[in-house]
Amino acid sequence: MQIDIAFDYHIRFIPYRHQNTQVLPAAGRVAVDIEEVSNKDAPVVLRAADPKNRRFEPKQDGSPREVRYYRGMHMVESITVEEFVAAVRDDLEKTFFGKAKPLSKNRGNWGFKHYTAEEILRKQVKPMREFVDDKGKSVAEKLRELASKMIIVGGKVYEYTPEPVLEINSNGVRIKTRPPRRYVDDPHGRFDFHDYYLSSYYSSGTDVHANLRHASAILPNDANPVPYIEVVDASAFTFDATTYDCTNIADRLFNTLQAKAASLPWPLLDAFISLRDARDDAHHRITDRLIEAVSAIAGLPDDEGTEHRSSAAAFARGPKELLEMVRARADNRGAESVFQISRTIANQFLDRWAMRPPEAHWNNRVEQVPATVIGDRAVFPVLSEGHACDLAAAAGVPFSSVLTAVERGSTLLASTPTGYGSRAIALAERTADGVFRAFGEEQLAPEFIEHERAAREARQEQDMILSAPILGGM
Amino acid sequence: MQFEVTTHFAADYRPPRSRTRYVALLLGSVTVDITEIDHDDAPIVHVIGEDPEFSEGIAPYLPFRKQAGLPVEVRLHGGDYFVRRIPVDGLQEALAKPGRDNPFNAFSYAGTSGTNVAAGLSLNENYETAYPRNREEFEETQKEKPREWNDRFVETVHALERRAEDLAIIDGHLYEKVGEPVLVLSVGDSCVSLRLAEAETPGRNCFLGNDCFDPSTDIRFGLDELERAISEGEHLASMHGCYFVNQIEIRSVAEWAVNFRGEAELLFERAVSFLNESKNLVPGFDAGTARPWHDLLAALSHVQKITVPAIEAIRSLCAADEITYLQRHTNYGGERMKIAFSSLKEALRLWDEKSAHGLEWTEIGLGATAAFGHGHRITEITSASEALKAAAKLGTDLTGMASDAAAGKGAMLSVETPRGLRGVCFVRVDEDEPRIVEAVMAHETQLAPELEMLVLDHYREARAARDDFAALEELGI
Repeated sequence: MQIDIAFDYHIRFIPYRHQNTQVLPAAGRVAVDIEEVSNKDAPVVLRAADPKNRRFEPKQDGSPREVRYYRGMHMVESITVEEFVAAVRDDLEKTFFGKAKPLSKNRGNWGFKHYTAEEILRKQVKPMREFVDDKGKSVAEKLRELASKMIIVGGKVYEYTPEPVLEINSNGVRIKTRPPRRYVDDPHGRFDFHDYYLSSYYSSGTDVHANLRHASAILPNDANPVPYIEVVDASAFTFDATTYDCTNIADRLFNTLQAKAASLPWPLLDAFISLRDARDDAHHRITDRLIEAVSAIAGLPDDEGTEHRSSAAAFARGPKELLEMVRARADNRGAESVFQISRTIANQFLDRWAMRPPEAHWNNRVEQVPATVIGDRAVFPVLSEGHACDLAAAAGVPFSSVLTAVERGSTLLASTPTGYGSRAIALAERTADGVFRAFGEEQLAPEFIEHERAAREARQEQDMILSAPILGGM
Repeated sequence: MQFEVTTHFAADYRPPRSRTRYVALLLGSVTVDITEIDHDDAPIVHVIGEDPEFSEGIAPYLPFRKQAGLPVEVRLHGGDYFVRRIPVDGLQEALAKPGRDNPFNAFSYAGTSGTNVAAGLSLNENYETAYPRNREEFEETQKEKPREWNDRFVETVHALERRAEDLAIIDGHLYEKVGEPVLVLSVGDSCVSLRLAEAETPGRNCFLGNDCFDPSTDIRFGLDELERAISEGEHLASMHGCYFVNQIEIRSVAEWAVNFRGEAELLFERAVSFLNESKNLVPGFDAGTARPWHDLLAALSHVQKITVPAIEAIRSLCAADEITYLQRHTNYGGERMKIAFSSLKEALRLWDEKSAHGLEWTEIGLGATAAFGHGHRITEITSASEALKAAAKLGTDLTGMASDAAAGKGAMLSVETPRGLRGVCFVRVDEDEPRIVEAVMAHETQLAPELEMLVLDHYREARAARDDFAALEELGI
């Protein structure tokens, strides 16, 4: 369906012998095409209503909004086409097209007067130094792009939304949208703006009912009404909330210990080092090694040397640098010692891991060989359905082909860049017979072979250790 | 012997109707008593001198500066070292005017009166101008009488008397109390120089004479280790790419009067510096490096000196060629850590090469760090200079105990509170059971029974750990 959108934009110019750019508003116009889709092509996958989320707030009659799934995108129900066309005419900013950031009519002190290029040029006697009238090209492009993220089904407009997820924390239960995907291990930590820091946070896209039960158990229903949510087709939701939450909790545990690494008692420092190595190897997966490292921290007994360290600090004298380190070691005493804090976080991790949906994680089916870093590529077996779908989306491979390969009993391997400016993500499967096959590409990336060789060597070494009785093997 | 010392002193006063205080300078004279010591009681132990070629302008006070081109005599009396200054004949004359010969001149010694103006003022170069002698003389120069007057004559007298306690007259010469002379390899920008300095400056609150010593680069040796110091100096000079200057002259040294060994101090200082430079890198260490790093910090935080556990940790750290770490988990500081690590290695090498003289017995001692309990800390005294310091604090002679401990007959344990040393006791195994043979406590108190138990427990535990370790070593593990 074609919609005519009128919008405002700026004509930019520098008059004769002026130094600074001046702008004046002008009227632009673009015709965009919103696709009309049949009910069958864009099936309803979710019905949801959350009064505290503007995107999912209940309709005027109180009924929930439908979410449809079309070409890998989730589309949430908005208003009827007639209402939408009227809204676009009235106030473009308040509609979905407001994301294009057109020039606001309420902004500036020039009122609603629109200028044309001729009007502006006529005022100037001398030629302009510079004159740009692109007819609002950039805004028009954005509007077209936004129109491609909308569909019309049965006379109603549906707008794009990132995958809806359920967030449960101390504030209650909310419908939120999934955070941006994280593929790249960013070596420059401080520039990683995708790195979210969330306190106790549970979310789910697929196993809504289990989590809702959990939420209603911990939260009073009267004070915090649970939003209405009805999953029609669970296969449209691929967000791996367990991995996301567990990775966040493991990061928090790591950061807590890293900040105090120089003053940690030995058991904790030792556990920290194994956590660090496991986390380096994880690449946004929850590996057995990571679970082991976190369980080791959760199982640490209370610190016995606390009193000893604090009395040592009371006696310490000497160089200032040494005194600072000694006092930092003694600072771990008190009710909330670093032992207790890290045990609490580790238990949070294990609790969250125990709540995972049963079939979405393939840890027990996939052989746990460490990730191999070859040059600027990291190769690792994929351990969960959600992670596989994320990687497939990034690699441009259909989800279904990846998931059917796993159902056949193959191991899924991914090769991701470890820095910027590398090749895109590649996926490959290793069938039960040991045959490699690349997804989406004709050529198998060489790092998969390298990884296979390294994994085989590691396996042989492991076998040798296990068979050597003097080293405590079998 | 009594002497008349001419000195300035300050007085603050307030003129009538004035809110502000003003300071007036007055000239006074004080009679001080300098003890005479018989030359047999204070034998000459060292004849040494330093030729201050490079430090003329920098360090005006050098305790062992050559006089008239000749080395000075160092005498030992009651555990204190005395250095010859000037003949007594010229002393009264020297006391009347400022100058290097005047031992009460603030600039000729690092005493209290030079740094604390409230206590007293020494003569300055304008001493001959007519300063008033007292309040009456001062008031004559003023139009009106000051309404408030507070002079510091008494404090000045005290300061000068304190200074007089550091002086002695032996054999018709004035002697000045100094710390034990030690050799210093001082690493400068252009040269490595061998200098003399005091091991510990007695009873003074500033260290003018010791500014040639910086533990991060410089090394101190006992006075009897001249050859070793020279060869080490040449090694250092070749390492830094500069030349080596020997600025000292040593005529004679009595080995029995030497109590100082510098290796423990050096190892301690450099271990602390290494820990400080590498603390940011700990998140990137692997378990093989993190363990000795942690052990070293633990050992140094129990007792702030070098002990056997600390040495073991340093050894296992230094076994690697360099400290490796994961860059990803650390911020910065790798280069400084590398420098600190190589100097720690150097210090460990010097520790292994140290002279066997019985002044330092860390390795034959208990081999433990410390025990804490009842608000006290029990540590072992493992060097002659530590024993001397403890003896000075308790006011007794501990040489017998120290020589027994150095011979391995038992352990010399110090009992401390956070405020300071409480006492020293000597523990020996008697009929298979450790016993406290001798205990010297401050203020003539007794060692409390619970502390006695603590001392004996610490001794037992340390011995047991050491025996276990020895047994493991015998097995070759």
